Amino acid sequence: MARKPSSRRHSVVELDDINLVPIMSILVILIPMLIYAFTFFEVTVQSVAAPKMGTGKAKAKDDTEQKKPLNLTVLISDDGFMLKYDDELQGSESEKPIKKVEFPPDAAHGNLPYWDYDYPTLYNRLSKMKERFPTEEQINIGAEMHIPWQTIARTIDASRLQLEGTPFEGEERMMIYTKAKPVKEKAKAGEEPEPKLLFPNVVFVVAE
Amino acid sequence: MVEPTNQGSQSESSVEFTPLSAAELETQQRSAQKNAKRKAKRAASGDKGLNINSLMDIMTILLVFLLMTITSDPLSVKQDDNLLLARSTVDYSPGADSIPIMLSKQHIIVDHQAVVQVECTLDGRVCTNIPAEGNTGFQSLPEGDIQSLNWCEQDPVPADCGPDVLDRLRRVRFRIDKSYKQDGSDEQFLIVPLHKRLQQLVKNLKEENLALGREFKGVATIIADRNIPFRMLAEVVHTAGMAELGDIRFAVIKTSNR
Repeated sequence: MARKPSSRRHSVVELDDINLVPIMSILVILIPMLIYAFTFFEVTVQSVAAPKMGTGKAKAKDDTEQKKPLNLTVLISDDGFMLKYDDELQGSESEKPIKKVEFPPDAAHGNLPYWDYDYPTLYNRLSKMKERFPTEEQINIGAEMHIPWQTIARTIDASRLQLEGTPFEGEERMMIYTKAKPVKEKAKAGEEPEPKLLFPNVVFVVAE
Repeated sequence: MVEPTNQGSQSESSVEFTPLSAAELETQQRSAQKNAKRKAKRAASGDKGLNINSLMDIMTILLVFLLMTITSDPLSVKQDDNLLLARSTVDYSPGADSIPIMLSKQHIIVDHQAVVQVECTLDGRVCTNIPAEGNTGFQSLPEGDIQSLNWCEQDPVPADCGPDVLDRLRRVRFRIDKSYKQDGSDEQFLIVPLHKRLQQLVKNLKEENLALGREFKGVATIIADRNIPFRMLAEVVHTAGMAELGDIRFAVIKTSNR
């Protein structure tokens, strides 16, 4: 007698492909949202100490120190920069002002000549100050009340690190200065070389 | 299917076929029918076998990358007409535990809340702020003073920002009204509503750090628009200092050109 065919499945069970459409829908919505929230530029920070009122004269950090602080100050006005400092021997000194100058045309300014602060000359002067006072790291920055933050940021840039290719002179000095790389110190084995500092500690000063 | 049984003989004529039973035949017929149905269904649905596995791989990697980048960024700064960061070559990373203070062209914002309004004046009148319609942006010098200021700060400077335009834009002034200052005086540096808000945040942060056994560091990160004047920066830094935030950092966009 013929037996009833077994109701057990004899064929191999084949699973249907996973439906990826809902997962793709979620990703298509989520990824544009995240790209919108993504920032395509790197945000970094510059430390600044609270403003001192007056002419920015600082006491020595350690009372036992005999050395008078340099009180190197850069004052920014509409006309340009003014450098001041306290020399132990000669008292308060004021260098010749660094006026704004007209730089030759370049692509960033629509191939037209333009007026700007003379950051390369400021850097040259600060570099010479660092040679005279190598242990000094603080710089006071003051400005007229309406000077914008971008100008102050560029001034801090000019005073922070030692750069290659100094001194910056000639008509093309701005172009060379803007692309100059920082000088790196000799690194110990296994460490990355650190850039050499000029005056990295910035203090805002406000003239009363 | 008829299965040949080869008993070792090399020639074709020696292959023997064992006939299948009725049950085996029925099973084979049923699976053949199922396969035929599946093929017909696939053909009917027009499925030519589009493989989206690669696309899934790309999407998953992109998703993981974006999630990791966004969650690791302690300062999520969104730039717009009222907030364009200054550019600098400094490369210190922002710390995770700091109080962000945003100084835009319109408000001072702490903890996503506007605490102080910033006044903008040009030649004695209030600056105009006329955003671009839709997402088209501006194609030439905009009408609004705020937008013109941003337009002429592009790199390279647009051709329609002549000396007259630049001269006019240099007269734009941002300030904080004396009603927000201590003693209602323009000469004062302390901004009262900002000071109160920062004190609240510092108090909360100190309690939180105490509970977690951490040291309170008093770090504030100022996210300032590039056109904010020195006077306003000094006022905000002074106010933050008075609220026990001694370590002040300014957020900038990193650039390779000085």
